[in-house]
Amino acid sequence: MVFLPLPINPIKEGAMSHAPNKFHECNLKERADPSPPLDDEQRRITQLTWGNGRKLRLGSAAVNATADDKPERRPPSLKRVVENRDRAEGRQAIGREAPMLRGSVCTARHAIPAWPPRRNGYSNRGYIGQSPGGPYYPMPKRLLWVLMSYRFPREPSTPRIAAWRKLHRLGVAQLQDGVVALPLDARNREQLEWVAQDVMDAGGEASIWMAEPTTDAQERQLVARMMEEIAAQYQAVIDEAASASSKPEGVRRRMLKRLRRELRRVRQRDYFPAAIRQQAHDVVEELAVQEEFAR
Amino acid sequence: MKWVTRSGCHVDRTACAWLIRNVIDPDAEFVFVDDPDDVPADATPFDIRGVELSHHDGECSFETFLKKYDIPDPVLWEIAKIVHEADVGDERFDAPEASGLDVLIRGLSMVKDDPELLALTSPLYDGLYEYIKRATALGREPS
Repeated sequence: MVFLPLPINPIKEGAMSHAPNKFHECNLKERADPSPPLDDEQRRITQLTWGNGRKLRLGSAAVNATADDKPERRPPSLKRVVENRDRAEGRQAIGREAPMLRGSVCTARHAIPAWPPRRNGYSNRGYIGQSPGGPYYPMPKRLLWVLMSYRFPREPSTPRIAAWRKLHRLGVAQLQDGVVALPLDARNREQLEWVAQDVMDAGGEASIWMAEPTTDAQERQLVARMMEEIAAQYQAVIDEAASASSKPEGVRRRMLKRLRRELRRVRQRDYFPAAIRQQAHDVVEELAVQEEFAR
Repeated sequence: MKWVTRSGCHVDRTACAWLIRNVIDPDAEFVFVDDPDDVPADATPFDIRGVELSHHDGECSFETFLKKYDIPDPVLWEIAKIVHEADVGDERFDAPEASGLDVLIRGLSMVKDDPELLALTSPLYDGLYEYIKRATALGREPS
C-alpha cells in the first residue's frame, strides 16, 4: 500500500471526511487511478466551477461534499456596490471618469474634502455627478474661497504695509477692513497662511477660513469686482505699450522688458481671465515684433 | 532624526530637504503630513505655519534654516536668494532662475510623489550648488 499525503479535512457531520486516510472499498479503482486527492482549496475551486456536489473521482472522500460547505462569495467591492445601487436607482453610466469638484460628494457618498487637494484628482467613477438629494451633505455649486480675517496693532505701521503689499501681489479681494478673500487653491491657501504668520509675528491676530458665498449674486458681485480691478491693471499695461511705439529704440526695448514682467505679474493675480488678458498679451507681443523688425 | 513637513513639496521644501540631508543631518528621514495636526511628536517640523523653521519676517524656510544653523557658506546664501524668489516672489533679489525652477518643481510635484520628488530634486540642487560655486570662483558665468 502506498501512503499518499492526504490533507486533514474539516470535520463535518455525515461526510466521510473525518477519516481522510481511510480508503474506500474500491481499492482497485484507487490503484488504477493514482492521482492524488484534492486538498481543500482545490476542492472548493472545483465546486465553484463545476457546480455542487459533483463526484469527480470515486473513492475519494475529499470531493464528495455537499452544498453546505460551499464557501460564501467574497463580498462585492465598493465599485460593484455603487454600480448596483446606481443601476437600481436608474442612473446612467457615462463610461468615462469626470472630475469631481473638491468639497462635493461623489456617487459613493463620501465627501470629497476640499483640503488637502489630491494630486490625482477625484473622479466620479464614470457616473454623472448628480446631487444625492437625500439627507447627505449638499454639493456646493459655487466656488470655494479662502478668507483671512486679520487685525494689526496700530503701531508700528511697517508690518501692515509689508503685509498689504503681499496681499496686493496675490490679488486678494477685500471684503472688509480686516477680511480678504481669494479663490481656494493650494497655492493661495499657503500664501495666505504665510501672511497670517507675518501678522501673528507682528503681534496682531489672524485666522484663515474656507468659505462659500451663500448666494450666487454675492459671488457674482465679488468676482465682478475682482475682474474690474484686474482689467484696470491690464489697461495700464496696454496704454503704456501704446505709448512705447513712439519712443526711441533703446527706451522701447527696456519698456518691452518691463511690460512683459508687469504682464506676468498681473497674470499671476488674475483668477477670472477675460478678453482683456489676451488683448494685453497681443499688444505687448506686437511691441516685441516691432522691436524685432527695427533691429 | 525625523523631519516632517506638508505633502506636495515645492521649491522651498525640496531645497530644505536637500539642505538637511547634505549639511544638517545626513541620516534624515522625512515624513509628509496633510494636516498640521498630524505632526508626530518626535519629528522636527519645517515649513509648516507656526513652527520655528518656517517663514518668518518675509523670509522663506530655507533662509530660516541657514540662519538658525548659522551656515556661512556664500553659495548656499545665493541658492537661498533663488529659493526666496521662487517661493515668496516679492522681487527682493534679482534671481531670474527662480521662476523656471519654480515651474519645473511644481510640475514635477504633480507627477511624482514626495519621496520620489526629493530623490529627483536632490541632484538638481547638487548641480545648482556646483554651478554657483564655479560662477563665484570665476567671477562670471561658468561654461
